[in-house]
Amino acid sequence: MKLLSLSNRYYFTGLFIVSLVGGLSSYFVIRRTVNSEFNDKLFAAKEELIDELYRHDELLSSYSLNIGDNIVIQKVDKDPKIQTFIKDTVLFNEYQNEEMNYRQITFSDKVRDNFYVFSITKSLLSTEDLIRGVTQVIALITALFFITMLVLSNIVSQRIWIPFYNTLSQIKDFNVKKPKPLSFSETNIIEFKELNSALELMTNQVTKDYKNLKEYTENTSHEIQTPLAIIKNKMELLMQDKNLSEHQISILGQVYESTGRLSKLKDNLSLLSKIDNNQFIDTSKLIVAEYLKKKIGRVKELLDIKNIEVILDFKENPSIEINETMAYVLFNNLISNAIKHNIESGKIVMTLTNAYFEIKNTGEPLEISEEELFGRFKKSGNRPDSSGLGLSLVYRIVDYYNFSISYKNTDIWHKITLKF
Amino acid sequence: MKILIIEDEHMLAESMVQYLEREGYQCEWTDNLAEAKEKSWDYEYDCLVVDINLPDGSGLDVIKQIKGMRSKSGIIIVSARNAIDDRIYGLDIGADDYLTKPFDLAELNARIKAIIRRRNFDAQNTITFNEIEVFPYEMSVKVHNKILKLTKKEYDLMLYFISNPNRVIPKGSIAEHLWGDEMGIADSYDFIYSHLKNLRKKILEHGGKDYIQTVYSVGYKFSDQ
Repeated sequence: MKLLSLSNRYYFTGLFIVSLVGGLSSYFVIRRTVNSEFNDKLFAAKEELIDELYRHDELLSSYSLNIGDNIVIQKVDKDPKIQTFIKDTVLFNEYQNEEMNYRQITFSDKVRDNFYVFSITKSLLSTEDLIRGVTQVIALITALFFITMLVLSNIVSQRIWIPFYNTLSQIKDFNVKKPKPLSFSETNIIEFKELNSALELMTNQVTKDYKNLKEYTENTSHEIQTPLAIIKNKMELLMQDKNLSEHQISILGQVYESTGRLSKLKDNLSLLSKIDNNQFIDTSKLIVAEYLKKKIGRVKELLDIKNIEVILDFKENPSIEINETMAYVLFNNLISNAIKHNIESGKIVMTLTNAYFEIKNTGEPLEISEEELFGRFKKSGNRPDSSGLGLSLVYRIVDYYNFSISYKNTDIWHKITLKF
Repeated sequence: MKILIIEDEHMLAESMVQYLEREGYQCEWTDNLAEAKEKSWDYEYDCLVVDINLPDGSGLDVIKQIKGMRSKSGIIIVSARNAIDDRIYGLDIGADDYLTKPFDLAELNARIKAIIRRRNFDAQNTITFNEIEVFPYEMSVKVHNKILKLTKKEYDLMLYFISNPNRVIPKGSIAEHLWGDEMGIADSYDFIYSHLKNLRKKILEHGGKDYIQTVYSVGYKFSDQ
């Protein structure tokens, strides 16, 4: 929900309640004032009537006093002892030709030894008009208020939030791998000023840290490679020495092999850290079936040596968006894994659909659990030619592209399913 | 044949010099950019081995200078950085080859030879080892003047051996030369052995001697001694 709609929601709810309470209370206040005014008028009329009755004889036969008021005088035999009371009543108005609200005061009195019951009825028409008018005015003011609020808050949010949206769009475009200096727009609003300076500080720090990390990875790989190169080359020179015994040469061979493993291990670790640092962001379209066929062609010798049969079951022809290096590492590891852990005259079955790639190979049962398979440095048995990083590289890449991967072992079959 | 090695790591440079001098090259070595620029200005080398990271600058500057001089020297970059960008840039400005540390001396030697062969273009250029002749331009091998029918891998193997005669070549070095990165796939060196067996058989069939000696648990040696 946008900040504007949220704040508007609160403002309008508050405004609605206030208008409702204000409107209702002004209605009641006005009504009460008018009512008491009306009652006062009726009482005054009563006093006036009695006064008139005492002073003039003839008036007794006259039934009206003021135009609009209706006076009824009824002669009774004995004292009815009616307390003066006021009530609202509905009567038929001949002029308006409809039923209308009236207020009536009823009382009794003794005039020249005779008892009378009097009632004076006043039309409430003017009161109703007044209240209706007042209500309309309040409603109009409330409506104007709402509209003004709506228009104002829209304009204000557009004006005031300009620097904020500017900052937001810059932060959205910010890429630590390709940092470009942020230029936030000038603003006089303290909160936005603080936000901008905090963001500037943060992005600078992030950029610096990222650069340091990259440099660290690069430096480490550089620093490790050089001594490795020295060891390897010195060993090669030593091997040429004609005075070495067979035993000594064999030790040299083992050390040389280990150097190679160390170098591979370092390559893989540096690859993992590069993936973690998002350094492979350029992607291109990869037609999986073609790519796999090419890959299989390149490992044909290895397949032949173990006499492994490859069965391709390409049902569909999917293509995926992936970085070239990552694709290489991903499929290379999956295929080499299927060859490396295969048995003599074994089989590899590859299935490809638009939704998934499945590679299944024959092999010895696994010595580590299925869950641990994708962890770093997990390997089945002690294989000198395996760094234990291959499948964790695969897992990292799968994770990076939001693919999913699963492993299943049934009898001699090891099956890895990669869902795109 | 004169080679200039520009490498700030003394021990590494020492190994390179030692290995290459035994191949009959005249090697000079410098550990800084300034001297490298000076030397390559004064003399014409057949090949330069250039490390990119030098204490006083980038080795790429030497390459730019040499290219500016329109020199015919071959250039091979050796770098600890396996960054694809570096590789492309280096080759772009005129380097002939790129090797990532750690590399095998046998590999370096084979590549230097290939570069020098290409620089001194000569159709008659052959590499001879007794009765065996390798014709790099035709990618063919003759034994007693009879052409051997070799597969691509067998030819590569032959060329690698004949470029590094009388040397113990570790199996790992051969595997990396033949398969590069795919080598990670191999779970044994069996496949080197099978190519070797075929190559040996073909040479023997044409009356050649078996010069490929097995050095127990290490690798092989192409030698007539």
